[in-house]
Amino acid sequence: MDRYLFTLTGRIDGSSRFGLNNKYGFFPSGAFAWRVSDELFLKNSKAISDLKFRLSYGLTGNDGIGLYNSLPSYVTSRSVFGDTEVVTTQAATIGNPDLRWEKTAQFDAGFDLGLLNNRIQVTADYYVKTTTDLLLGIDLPATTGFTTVIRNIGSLQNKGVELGISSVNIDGKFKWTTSGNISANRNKVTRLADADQYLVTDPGTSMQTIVKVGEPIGSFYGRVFDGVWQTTDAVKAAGALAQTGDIGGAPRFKDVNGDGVFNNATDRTIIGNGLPKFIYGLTNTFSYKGLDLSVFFQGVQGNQIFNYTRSVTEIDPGATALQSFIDDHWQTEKPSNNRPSARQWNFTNSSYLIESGSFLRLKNVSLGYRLPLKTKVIRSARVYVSGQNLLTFSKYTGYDPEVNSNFTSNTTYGIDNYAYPPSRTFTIGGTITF
Amino acid sequence: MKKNKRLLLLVSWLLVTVGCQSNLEEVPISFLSESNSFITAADATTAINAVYDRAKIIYQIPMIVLGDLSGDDLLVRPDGDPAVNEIDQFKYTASTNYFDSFYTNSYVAIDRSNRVIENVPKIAMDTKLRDQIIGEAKFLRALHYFNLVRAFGDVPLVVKTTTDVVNVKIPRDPTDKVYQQIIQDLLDAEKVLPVSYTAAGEVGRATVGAAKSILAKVYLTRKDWTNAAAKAKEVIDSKTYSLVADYRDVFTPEKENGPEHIFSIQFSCIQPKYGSSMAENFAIYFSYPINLTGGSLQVTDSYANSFVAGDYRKQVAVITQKTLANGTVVLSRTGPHLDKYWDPNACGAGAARNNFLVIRYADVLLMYAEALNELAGPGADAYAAINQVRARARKGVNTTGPQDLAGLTQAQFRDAVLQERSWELAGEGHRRWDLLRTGKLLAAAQAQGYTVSEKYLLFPIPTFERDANPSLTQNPGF
Repeated sequence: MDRYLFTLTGRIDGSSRFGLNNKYGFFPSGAFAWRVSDELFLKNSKAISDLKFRLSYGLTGNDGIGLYNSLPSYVTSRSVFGDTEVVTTQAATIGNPDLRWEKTAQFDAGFDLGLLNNRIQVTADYYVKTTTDLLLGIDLPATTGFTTVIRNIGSLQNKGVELGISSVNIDGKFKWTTSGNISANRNKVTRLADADQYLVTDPGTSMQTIVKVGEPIGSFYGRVFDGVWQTTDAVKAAGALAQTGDIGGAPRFKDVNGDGVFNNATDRTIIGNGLPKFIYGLTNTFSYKGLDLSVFFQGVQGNQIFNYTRSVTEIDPGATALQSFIDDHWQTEKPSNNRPSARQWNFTNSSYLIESGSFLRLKNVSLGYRLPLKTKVIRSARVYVSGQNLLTFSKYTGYDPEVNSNFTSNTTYGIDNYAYPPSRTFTIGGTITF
Repeated sequence: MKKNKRLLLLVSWLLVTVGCQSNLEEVPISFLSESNSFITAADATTAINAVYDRAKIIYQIPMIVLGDLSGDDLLVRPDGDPAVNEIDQFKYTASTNYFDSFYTNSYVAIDRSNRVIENVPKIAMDTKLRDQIIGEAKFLRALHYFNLVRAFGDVPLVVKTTTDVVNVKIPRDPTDKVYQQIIQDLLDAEKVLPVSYTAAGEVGRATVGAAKSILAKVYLTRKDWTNAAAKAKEVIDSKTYSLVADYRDVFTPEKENGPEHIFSIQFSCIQPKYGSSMAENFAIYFSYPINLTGGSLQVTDSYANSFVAGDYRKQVAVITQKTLANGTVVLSRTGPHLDKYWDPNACGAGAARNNFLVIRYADVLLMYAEALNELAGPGADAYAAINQVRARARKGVNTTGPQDLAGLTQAQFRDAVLQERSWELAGEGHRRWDLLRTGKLLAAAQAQGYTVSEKYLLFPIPTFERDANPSLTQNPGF
C-alpha cells in the first residue's frame, strides 16, 4: 500500500532577466507523506477514516521583475523646438547588473484528517517561508538621475498557519454542511543588505512605506496625527511643537522622537500595515428536497488601509468635499479635535488617513430550486437567485475595505487611491439540461 | 533501437543546454540600452534633445514658484495650491511639494547631460556638430547646477553617469566647488556653441550668447564684478541682440525667439502636450464658467502700485480687467493679475504657446549696469545700459514714465537697478535670486508681513532625497 510517499525534485532554472553571472538558480525540493490511516492499526477504525501527515521542504525562485531590468534602458519620445517636433532619446531605467534570483525556502508541516467516514474533514498546515535576495523596487536618490531601482535587498520571513474544517452537520432529507477556513500569516524583514531601512514611495499617492529589519514589509511610514490645534494661542504656547505658520484648526502631529521639536521628516514612524492579522471564510449549505441554499461569509482582520481618497473628499474649497466633512470639520465657533479646519491640507502622509481595514462580509447567498420536471426531452431543470456582496460590517469610511490600488507591489499593499469598489450584484437564472 | 534512443536523448540534452547558454544573454535589438543608443549623429541629436526636454518641467510654474513667489512681486491666492502658499508666505518645510520635483528633475536633466558628454565623443560624426552638442549639454548642466546651488546651497556634484546602484549615498559638495564646475562648463560651451540657428528644429538651442549671458549672471551672483561686466559687455558688443521696440512683443507668442530672446525654453501649440502652463496659472479669466476667478497666481498690490506714472510696462504686465476677442470685458474680482503670459490661442487646459524666457537682452543690460556700478559706481556705460531699458518703457512718450537716470550715488544706483529688474522682469523667475544676490530677501519678506529668519535664505533639501540618501545634511533650521 501507499503508506509512505516520497517526492524529490531538482531543477536548474535560467532567466535572461538577471545579470550576466547570476542567470541560473538551482531549486531542489523534497516531500514526505505518511498515510497513517492505511496502517494496520487504523485500517479498521470507525472514528478515523483518513489521516495523513505531510512534511515538505523546497526552494523556489522568483524572477518576476519584468524584462531587461539588469540593463540600463533608453526610450525615445518627442519634444519641440519652435513649432517643429523633434525626437528625443533618454535613459528610462538605471539598470542593475547584479540582479539575481530571489529564493524562497519553504518548510511545510501538516496533516489531513477525516473523521466518522469523512463526515468531518480537517486540513491543517504550518509553514515557514524564508526569502533571501528579496527583489524589491526601492527609492533611489535623484542624484543618480533616477528615483527607483530594483535590487536584491535582503531577507524576509513569512510564517503562518492555515486551518480548514468541513463537516456534514445533518445528513438526510434535510442536509446541512459547513466548511470554514482561517489562516494567519506573520511577515518580518530579517536582514537588509546595506542600509537600516529602505523607503518605497507609491507613485500614485506619494504615500511612503518602509522596509525595515524586524518589521513587516510595506509598513506605512509617516507622521502621527494628534488632534487639532484649537486656537492660534495654543499654537504659540506650544512653541517648537507646532509647525511654523500653524493656526487654530491646523492638524497637530506627535513629536515622535521626543526632542521637543516637531519636524515633518524626523518625527515619522510606522503608522500601520496593509497586511491582515488573519483572514477567514465560512460557507454553510442547506438542502431539502429540491431546494438548496448556500451562504458564504468572508472576513479580514487586523489590517490598515491608507484612505487616500479622503485627501480629496476632505479638502475645501473645490467641488470634491463631502457633506460629512463640511459638517464636522473644525471651525472657530464649532471646535473639533478629529477633523482639521477646511483650510488645512497638511495631513497627507500621516496617520490621519490610516483606518482599520477589518471587515466581515456576506459575500454570497444563493438559493436554488430543482423543478420537479422530468420529460423525455428535459432531463433536469433548476432556477436560482443569488446575490454578491450583500452585507458588510466594517468601520472603514472609504467606499470599500476590500481594496488594493496597486496590485503589483507587495510594498504598497492597502492603499486606497480611488479604487473602484466591488459591486453588489443580484442574479436570477435558470438551467435546463436536455 | 534502444541504444539509438538513448543517444538521441543525450544529443537533445546537449542541444538544450548549449542553446540555453547563448539564449540567456540579453542582446538588445528592439530594446534600447546604452550600447545601442549612441551610434550615429542622429543619436547624438536625439540625446541632447532629451536634455532640453527635461528642462521644460522645471521652466514652467516650478521656476516661477521658486523664483518669483518666494519674492515680493507675485502672490498666490489662498485658494491656490497649498504648497505654493507655503512658499509664498515663507512657511515652507522640507516636505513642501515643489522642492522635491525641482531637485529631482534638475538631477534627471543633469544625468542626461552627463550621458551626452560621456557618450557622444565616441560617435563617428562631423566634429563641429559633435563639439556643439557636447557644448549644449555642458550649458544645460551648468544651468541646472546654477539653479540648484542658488536654491539649496551645497549640493552633490555629479558629473558622471551613475552605474553603481548600491553606493549612492553621496554627500553634498561645497558651493564653491559646484560654481567652479558651472563656470568651467559655461566657458567650454561658449567656445563651441554657434551664434545663432536658422533651421527649423534648431532655433531655441543654446548659443554662444546664451552661455555668455548665463556666465555673466553666475559671475554677478559670485560678486565677481569684473568678469560679470566683461561677459555682459561681450554679449552687448556682439550686436546679436537688441531690445524689441514694443515691450508687449517680448511676450507675444507669435514673436518668440526674437532679437531680445537669448535663451528660452520652447513651448508650442502644434499639439497641446507641447504647451506651457503659465497662461492658465496667471490668467485673469478661465473659459470655464465654474471658475471666474482665473488662475491663482497674481501680482502683489505693492508691485502693482510701484510703477511710476506712464510706465508702459505696467499697462502690459499688470491688469485688473481684460477685453476678450469677442468684446466681453472681464473684471478681476481678486486684485491685479500679471498679463505677460496671456495667450488668446491657447490649445488646452494648462497648454499655451508661451516660451519660458530664461534670459533676455534687457536682463543682460541690467546685469551690465549692476556690475559696473559695483566696480566703480555709476558711470556713463552703466547709465547707458539701464536707461536703454527705461527708454523702451516710455514707449516713445518722453514726458511721462521712467525718465533717464542721472546723478545717483552708488547705493542709489544699486537700488535703482534692483527696482528696474522688478518692473522689467517680474514673473519670469528672477526675483528671489535678485533679492538674494543683493542681500534684500529677508527685508522684502518682512515688508510683506511674513515672519522670516536666516534659514529662509536657502530652500530645504527635500525629505524624499534625504530618505534615500542619509548622507545628505539638511540646511540649518529645517
